[in-house]
Amino acid sequence: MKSNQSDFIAIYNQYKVLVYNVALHYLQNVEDAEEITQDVFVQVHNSLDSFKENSSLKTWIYRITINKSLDFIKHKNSVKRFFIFGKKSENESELNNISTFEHPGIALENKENAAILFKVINELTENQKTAFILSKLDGLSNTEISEIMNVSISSVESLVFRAKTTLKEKLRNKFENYRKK
Amino acid sequence: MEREDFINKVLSSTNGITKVIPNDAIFLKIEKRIDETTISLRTIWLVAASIVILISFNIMLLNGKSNSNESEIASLEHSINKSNQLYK
Repeated sequence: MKSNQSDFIAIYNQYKVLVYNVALHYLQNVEDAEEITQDVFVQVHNSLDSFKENSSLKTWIYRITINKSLDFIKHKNSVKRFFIFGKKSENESELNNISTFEHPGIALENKENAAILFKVINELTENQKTAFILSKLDGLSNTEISEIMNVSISSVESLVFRAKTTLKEKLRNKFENYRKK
Repeated sequence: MEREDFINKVLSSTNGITKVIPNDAIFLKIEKRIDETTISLRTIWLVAASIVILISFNIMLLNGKSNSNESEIASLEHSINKSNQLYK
């Protein structure tokens, strides 16, 4: 595939919404999602010649976006860990999470509950998080997810099931905490 | 019951999530970053090419010098041989 400018513009126009929204699901912050979108398309531009077409372009772009988002989170967490010496109380960090939560795709009336949901999604393991986001928020089929994550369909089913179970468990604990307040 | 309501409410808070269209300015930023990487790559190639040219000039110069030295010695030998001829 030749990486000429018109090809790249066509790819950008076709996949910009996909990349931006996946990044938003992972990061829940407009600025961070924009940064990831830039990183993804710069890499797509630079690696287009070496794209081997073993997978579809969509799958390849999904993988780049997911990897960039996960790396970004890891980097952000390591910076946070470096600067924050004292651990914040759970209430404080939760309030902080809700106030910094920014996902323009979510209706205003659901914002508070969605912030709670994303807080617990962020506590899932990377694989469970990816499977849940792609399945429940991006609406992909298990076959598509298995191709993107390079795992079997039954593994995807199991990851989504475990993610849901963990989320329910964590939300149950949250509810008890809310009741105590 | 109250607990289950809370869980269901939170879990369904992303129902009807809409796709967000990114800002048009992102593409300009991407183009700028691509241009920057292209320029730096071009610079790297230019520097590499200049080094290669410089080295080859040096090699050529050294070769030329040793050749001229050899020819000088040869002509000297020739003249000595001629002038030192004792018997004709």
